[in-house]
Amino acid sequence: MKNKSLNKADILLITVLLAIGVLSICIMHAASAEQDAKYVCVSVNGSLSARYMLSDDVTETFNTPAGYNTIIIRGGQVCVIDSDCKNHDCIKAGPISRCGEMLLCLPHRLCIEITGGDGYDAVSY
Amino acid sequence: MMRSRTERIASAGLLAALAMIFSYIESLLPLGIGIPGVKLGLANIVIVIALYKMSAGYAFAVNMCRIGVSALLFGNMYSALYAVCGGLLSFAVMALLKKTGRFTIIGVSAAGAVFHNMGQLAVAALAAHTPQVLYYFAVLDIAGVITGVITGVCASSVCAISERRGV
Repeated sequence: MKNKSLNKADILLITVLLAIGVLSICIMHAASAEQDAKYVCVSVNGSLSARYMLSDDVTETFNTPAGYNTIIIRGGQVCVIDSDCKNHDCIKAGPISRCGEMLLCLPHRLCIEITGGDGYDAVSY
Repeated sequence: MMRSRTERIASAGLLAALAMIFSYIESLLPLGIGIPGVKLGLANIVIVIALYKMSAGYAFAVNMCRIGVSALLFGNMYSALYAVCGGLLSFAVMALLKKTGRFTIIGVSAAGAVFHNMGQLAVAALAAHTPQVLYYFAVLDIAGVITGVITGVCASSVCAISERRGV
C-alpha cells in the first residue's frame, strides 16, 4: 500500500460523517424538547372545553351543568382546588403532572387529562 | 499477487471462512461498550482486505457468503435481514469510494462501518414501525466512524504486511 496513513480526503470524509452525527444530535434535541410539551385538556361531559399548556400558570373555574370546579395549573402540575361536588374526590386525587394521568369529577362529568409528550419512561432497543 | 482463477477462488473461500469466524467471535464476546447495536465489526476487516487485495466481485462474494452462512448458523430470519441490508449498503459505499481512488483503506472502512449501521437502522425503523428508532442515528453514526477507523487501521496494516511479503 502506497498510502498507509490517512490522507486529506479521508480526514474530510471522517469529519463530514462525524458532523452529520453531531448535527443529528442537535436536531433530535430540539425535536424532543418540542415533543415534550404537555397539555392539560379539560372536558365536560366528554367534549373538550379548554386546553392549556402544562407549563402555564392558570387558575380557572369551570361551571358545569351540575356544579363548579376550580383548577389550578402551576409549576408543571395541575390539581382541583375547589368544587361543590359531594365527595371531593377530584380534589383529593391531585396534583398530577405526568402524561396520561387524569383527574375526574364524576358528579360534574368533568375530566382533566394531561396529553402530549411522548409518554415513555424509556425506550429499549 | 493472485495468479490463477483457482487460487483466487480458494483465497476467497479462506477469507469467507475467516470473516465468519470473526462474526462468531464477535457474537461470543459482546465488547461491552454499553450501547446495544454497536459492535467492532471485525468481519469488515476481512471484507476490506478482500476488496483491496482481490476485486470488488470477490469481496462481494466473500461478504455474501459470510452473511448467508452466519445467518444460517448463528442467527435467525431477523438477524439475517439486518445483516443483509447493512452488508449490502456498506459494501456498495465501500466499493464506490474505493473506485474514486481518493481515499485510503481507513477512510473507506470508516464510511463502510457507518453505512453498515445505517442499513441496519433503516431495517429496524421499518420493522418496528417506529420512527423513534431514528433517535439512534447519531449514536450509530459516531460509533461507526470510530469502529470503522479501528478496523480500517487493522486492514491497512495487514495489506501493508502482505505487500511487503509479496503475497
